[in-house]
Parts: sequence; C-alpha cells; structure tokens
Amino acid sequence: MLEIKNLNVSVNGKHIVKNADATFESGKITCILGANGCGKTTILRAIDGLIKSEGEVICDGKDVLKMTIKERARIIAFLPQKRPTLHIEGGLLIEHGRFPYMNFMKKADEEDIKAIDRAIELTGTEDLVNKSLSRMSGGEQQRIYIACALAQETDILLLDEPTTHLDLQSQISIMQLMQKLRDAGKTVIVVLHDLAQAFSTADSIILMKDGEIVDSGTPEELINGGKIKEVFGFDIVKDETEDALYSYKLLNLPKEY
Amino acid sequence: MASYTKNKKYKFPWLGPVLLVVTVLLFFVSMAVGAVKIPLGDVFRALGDPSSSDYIIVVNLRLPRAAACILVGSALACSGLVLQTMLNNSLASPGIIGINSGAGLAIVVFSVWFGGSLIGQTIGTFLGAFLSAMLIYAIGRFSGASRNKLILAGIAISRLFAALIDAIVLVNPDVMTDRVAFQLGTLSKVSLTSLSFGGPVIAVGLIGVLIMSRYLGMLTLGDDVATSLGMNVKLYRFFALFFVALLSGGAVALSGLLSFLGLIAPHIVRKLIGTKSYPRLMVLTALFGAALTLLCDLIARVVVAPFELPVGVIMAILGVPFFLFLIFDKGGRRLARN
Repeated sequence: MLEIKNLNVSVNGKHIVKNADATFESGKITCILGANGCGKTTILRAIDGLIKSEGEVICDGKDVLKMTIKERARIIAFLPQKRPTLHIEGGLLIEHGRFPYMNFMKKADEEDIKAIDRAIELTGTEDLVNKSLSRMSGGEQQRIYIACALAQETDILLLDEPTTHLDLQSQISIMQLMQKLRDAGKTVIVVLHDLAQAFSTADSIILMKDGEIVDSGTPEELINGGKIKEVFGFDIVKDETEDALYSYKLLNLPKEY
Repeated sequence: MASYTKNKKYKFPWLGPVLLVVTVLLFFVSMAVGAVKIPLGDVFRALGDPSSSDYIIVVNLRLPRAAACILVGSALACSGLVLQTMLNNSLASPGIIGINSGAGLAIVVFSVWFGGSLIGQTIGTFLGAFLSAMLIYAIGRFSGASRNKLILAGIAISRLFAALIDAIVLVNPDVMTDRVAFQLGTLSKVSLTSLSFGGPVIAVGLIGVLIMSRYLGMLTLGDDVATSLGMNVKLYRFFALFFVALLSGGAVALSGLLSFLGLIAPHIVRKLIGTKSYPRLMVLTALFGAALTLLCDLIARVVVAPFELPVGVIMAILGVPFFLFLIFDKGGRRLARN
C-alpha cells in the first residue's frame, strides 16, 4: 500500500500539485483522471522522487522520498509516457530492469535471470527479445517497456498513459496485463485518458482538476459524486449492453468544445 | 520455460576472434611494410635485438605508429559508440559534434602558448575535448534541445572551432607545419615520445568505457527511466563524457582530426551484430576501429610510396562505400542475416 500525504509540487513558481492526499491499495488498480495539464504525470513523478516535492510518500511505514534512489528502485517502477525508440534488442532492454539489484559490474546472476524470464513470460514477449525496438510496433515496444518495469520486481507500478497512441488490440492487451498484475498483488497506479477504459478497468479512481484531487473512490462512487461532469463536461454511466467492450459509456457530450 | 538470458544467441559469434587475429596480423604487417621493406622474420628479430640493423626503423618508427593505429582507432570508435548511445542518435560522433575540433583547437592554442611541449598538448587536447563535450551537453541540458538539435548545435560548434584553428594557424604558421594533414587525420607524426603521452590517456579512457559499457544502455533510456531504475544519471553521464574526452583528446593528440572513424565504426559493428550486449559491442567496436585504422594507414603509406597520404583520406575512400551499403537497410540486413 502506498500513501501520499499533503504532497505539493511547484515548478518555476507554478503550483502544479496542491495538497494531494491519497491512498493506493495493494492488489488494486488506481487510475488518475483529469484534463491535460492538471498534474497527473507530475504526481506520478513526485511519487517516484523524479521531481522535487514537499510532503510525504509512505510505503509500508517508510517515507519513499527519504530513501536512496537504489532503494526506491526496488519498491517503485515507473513507466513514463514518452519513451525513446532505441536501436537495442528487446531482451537487453528488459535486462535493464534488474539494474537496482546488480553489483558494480552489472552482470546478471541466477536471480536476475529468473526475474527476467518471469517478466518475459508475463508480458508474452518471448518472440520480441531478439528484435530491435526500432523494428517493433508501438504495442510491442510498450510490452517490452512494461516487461522491463516488471523485471524490477517492485510492489508498486506507476504507468503514465500506457495505452496512448496504441491500436485498440494493443490497448486491450495492456489493460489485461494490468489486471494480471493487480491479481498478482501489485499496487498499480495508472494515468489514463480514455474515461470508459479507465472506469472499466480501475478498482479505484482519483479525479484531479487544476492540481487538486477533487474526488476519489470506486467508479460507482465517482459517478454518484457528480464531479465527472464538472471536470470533463460530460457524464459517464454504466453500459448495460451485453458484450460491450467497456462496462461504462460516455453520455451528454457537448456538441462543441 | 526457456530461459532467454541463458540461451541468448549472439550474431556472428566468431567476429571477435576474427577481428583480433586480423588486428594482430595487420599490426605486424604494418611494421614490415613501408619505404624500406623488412621481411616479417626480420621484424621479429629487430624487436628483440637492439643491435639489429632494422631496430631503429622498427622500434622507433613503425612500432609506435602501428601501436598508435590501434589506440587511435579503438579510441575514436569507442567514443563514437558512447556518444551515439548516450544521445540515442546515429549521427553523433566526436568528429561531428565538435569534440575532436575542440581538442584540435586546444592543441593549436597550447602550441602558441607553450611551444611544442608534449605534456602541455596532451593536457590541452583532453581539456579541449572535455570542455567541448560539456558545452554540447550544457546546450542540450539548459535549452531543452532535442537530440537532433543537439547534433546540429555540435556541427555548428565544430565549424566554429575549425575556423578558429584556421585563423590561429594562419597568424602563427609555425605552430602547425602540416595543417592539411592535421585536419584530415594522419599518423605520420607519431613517435615513441608522443605515444608515451597520448597512449596512457587513451588506455585509461578505453578501460573506463569498457567498465561503463554495462551502464551505457541505461543512459539511453532517458533521465526518468534511468533514475527510476536507481541510476545516478548525472554522475554516470559525467563519467561517460569524461572518458569520451580522454579518448578523443588522446586520439587527436596522436592523429589530428581523424573524424570519420568515430561515426562509421560503431555503426558498422552495430549493424552486423545488433545490440544485445554493450560490453560485446564495445570490444568489437574497439577491435574494428583498430583493424580499420591499421589497414587504412598501411594503404596510405604504400599507395603513393615514397610519399604518403593522410590516413583520413584512405579511410573515407574505403569506409564510405561500405558505410553507405550498410545504412541502406537491405545491405545491412543481408549481411546480418544468419
């Protein structure tokens, strides 16, 4: 379980995250929602200590922000939205996930090899380990990057828009992978843009507006809270259609934005 | 479940041993060939016998030159690989982004100040290379420039340094007797003394980048990912640039502005073997750079004997067609298929 207490982030005098308090439970997918520029990515980066912040990020009673970066890397894995397309083979990229566990010479030992193999199996990337990232599709690259984060074997996974720019099939495969990770007991914290997708996948949702957390709870609680319309300008309701891709749908979209 | 890491298969597993054998062969052949032809047997005799008639030619002239070929070739190739990986840009190399010309400018400036002092020149080339590397890095850091813009900035800075070299040499013609050869890259000025200064600098740089090679992949992942994987990115990037400066600085001190090698050698090796292991890539790139430089220097010395061409000229004539063949994907894939 991860908890943030009174988290504040300012960049160049601009207050981007304001007094954020939230709890992210183990074995749950928590989705952070909000319009562009509301501070979603900044919260993720602040949790992983990648940006200077004030406040506390508590994991199992310890303040994550006071740990060394190596200690933190064994607890939290972060997949940013923007990732370079590299000229390296998929397998080597996944190996990098073991960096926080390796000694100075960074040679994989038996334990590292096992962790890498587990990550490859979980993400179904067996066929990609010998392929250069530059020759992979967006979805394949994404799975390799997720495998790298999984090889890190952390309890907490921060994923920043893992489905953006992917075709629908790849999006579904990434969402299913997130559910597998949740079932394995991980704390999955994810930023998503597709509201229907987010409501259908998340166990818990945090809604942000202008750097503040304006509501949080289960998808149903969020719907009852009525803040969705305030933030996005439309409603979201349960979709009762049988075999619908997502179990929620958007309603009352404004005719013009 | 099959273990990926245990069954990892490398392309061209024989490439390392072959390059090593070729390098050693070329090393000895280059001591035998020249204005005076010395049979290989006599070369070996001369190496161990100071009273031999060929001793002076072999030990004082050709041995340092052949050793310099190996050092300069591997230094430029490895520093090219480090830069290309760090900047995730295949255009990066010490010659292109101004590190070599920064070192060259330092040589010229130090020669004006301190005369021909070799220690001054060696320190100067390192400082010149290091400051140029930091300058390019700082431009990227503080302007938030994309990696492509960084290369463009490097090219511009490289031209600026080259212009400053020209200006200083034109005003002080005595500091550099053979400006054209210096700018194209030549190993004709190498002596035991100059090697004893440049050699150790390059050797330290080579050991440094070899140790760092396991960290190289991390530097290419971007600051956020590398930091979240537990790496102190700033520290390791500084080390990487420091070693690149040692390599480029040492190479420029020995051979002038041999710019093309740092671009093509890492490219060619990477096209052939892919990127499955940075240490392997680093070692093979070093060997390839060494072998290519030995071969080109050999040709440069014999093709218009008794005159000789700057090695940079031969390197361009030989390297460019092969390089072009490789970068147009089909050729690269055909060669790399196994």
